[in-house]
Amino acid sequence: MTSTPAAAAPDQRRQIRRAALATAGFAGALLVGSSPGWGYRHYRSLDEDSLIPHSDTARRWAEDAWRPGGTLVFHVHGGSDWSPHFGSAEDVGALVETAAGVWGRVATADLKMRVDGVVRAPGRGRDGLNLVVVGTEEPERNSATRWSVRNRANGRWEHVECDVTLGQERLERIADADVPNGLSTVIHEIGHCIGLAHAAVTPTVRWDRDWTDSSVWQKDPVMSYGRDIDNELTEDEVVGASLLRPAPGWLRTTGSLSGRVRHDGGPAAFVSVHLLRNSGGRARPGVQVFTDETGVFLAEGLAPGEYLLWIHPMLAQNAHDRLLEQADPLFDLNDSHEMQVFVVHAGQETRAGEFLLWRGRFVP
Amino acid sequence: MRRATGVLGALVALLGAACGGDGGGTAPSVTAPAPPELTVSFVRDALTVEEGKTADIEVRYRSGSLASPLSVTVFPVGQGASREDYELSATSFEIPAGQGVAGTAALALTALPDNQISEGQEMVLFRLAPPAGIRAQLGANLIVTIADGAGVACPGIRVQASPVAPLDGAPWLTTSLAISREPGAGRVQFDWEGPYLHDANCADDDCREWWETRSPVLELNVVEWRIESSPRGTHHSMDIEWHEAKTAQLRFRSPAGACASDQAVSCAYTGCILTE
Repeated sequence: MTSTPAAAAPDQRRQIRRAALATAGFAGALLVGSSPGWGYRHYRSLDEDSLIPHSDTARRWAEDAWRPGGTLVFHVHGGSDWSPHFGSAEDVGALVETAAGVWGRVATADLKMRVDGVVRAPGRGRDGLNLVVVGTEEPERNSATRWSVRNRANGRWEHVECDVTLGQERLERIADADVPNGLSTVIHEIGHCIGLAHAAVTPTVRWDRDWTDSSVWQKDPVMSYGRDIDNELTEDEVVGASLLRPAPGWLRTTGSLSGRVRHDGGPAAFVSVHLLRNSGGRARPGVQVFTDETGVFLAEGLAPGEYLLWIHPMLAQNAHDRLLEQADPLFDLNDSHEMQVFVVHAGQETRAGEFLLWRGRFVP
Repeated sequence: MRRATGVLGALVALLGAACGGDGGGTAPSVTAPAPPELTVSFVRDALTVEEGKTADIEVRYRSGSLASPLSVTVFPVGQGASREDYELSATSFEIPAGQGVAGTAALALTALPDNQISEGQEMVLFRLAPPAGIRAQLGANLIVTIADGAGVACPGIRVQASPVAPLDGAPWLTTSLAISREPGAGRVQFDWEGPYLHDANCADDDCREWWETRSPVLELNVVEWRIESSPRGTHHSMDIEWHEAKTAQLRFRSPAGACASDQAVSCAYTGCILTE
């Protein structure tokens, strides 16, 4: 269960911070497993040991709940009080469909979704409906609740249902068409429904408007707890979602890049590895992955080409609290990158070798 | 007396040139100047030398009648480069005795490297000085520009910066770092040592508390990062901006020991230097 603090006011931030510390276990029937938010980019299937699963060990949707090429259907909860910020539950449906459409436009992924009107279901729960409801118990937070079952055939946990809860106190901002990134929080929760966990934020400060616009670090991902988020997906989310539900033939066109990061005391667990794409001789934002517990990283779904690596410690710890419960990564490591360019080929894994991070990051 | 005549002659010559020479006017009623005993001038009036490189300073001379050899001094004047910035192979040269001797002399100027890697320029003006009492016609002074060269951070890794400049209307500095890697160079990482910053836009305690749950971020804007990759190596050019009160510092490190020492590029208001 997660929330999006993008451009939140201080009081909202406090609430969001509290919310981010909440855990994500739910009760279920015999075959319903919990679906905790592990590390970016995917949630793991619980039969895997690592907190940072690769795409082939990520938890995906059960085919009978969302078959390949099919459409994931949401309903708006008619029993929720959507006033005064929405005129009707149907208005909410239109907004959610707009947010889902942002994912649906990803050409490399199979992410068709729609909203099929309003239902008078009891509310959140394992009821076979993907509901959008108003959250009143914790009105300051939005969340996505995924329900999973174990597939008897392969033993893997699979998503079968996802409910999106929009906090009552967040509705005004979501409904306000004048808020430039008001839709981002709904896009974010739908991203969790698809199976994405939180992304990392970009590593340089983002707040100074006197600066020249950076062409390298343009904005933070919708799935992050960043400051500079709009209503569009970054390449990071496009690739992550495409790995979970790839469009036919897309995977064959991609390659991957792997490596290991350490510091002088051992493996650098849960550090961010950003891959910057060489686009016509200029570095452009690519994808980000975390290293696992042993400092190993694997970035998949990469378009063939040249990449640079920028590695830094986890910055927005409040977005990854579940990881921090399981390990004790270092936060005082310096940002580091290498001038060597790594070439990725379709269908191949490029091994980038080992990187070392140095401690010393401090604010005088 | 000879000097006074010489000055007057020069003045007349200047007037004549200003009036167009043979314009048909009345010849001035002054004594014609005595011909110089020595004419000496730099072959070029300006040259540029990159740090670490050597250039020849050539001097052309012609003497009237010299009973004994003459030593002509080349000496620096004016501001700019100091004696530590360059080295001259000699500070004088000799013109042999004789009648109507003409020739050239050459001195080697070596621009000495310093730790500045900003593409700054230092200038030094050289003047020729014959011995006292010699009636000489001197050419223009020589302007030598010493250009800061790239620094060698590690074997096969060269780094250079454009001049550090303020950003219009903001307390920020900007430069462009050019870093080249030859094909044989070992793996080298750039370790950003700062500046780092917690979010400085926080206006209240609650906001600060929020940001204290997050690590400080690099207070540096990478505006553009250009990459050229070829069999000849990799060339990076990174345009950066940072706060004018701070130092942006990037250390070159090699886990595999490719660098003998971990040198760092430090950029501040005064420029960028390569330092250990």
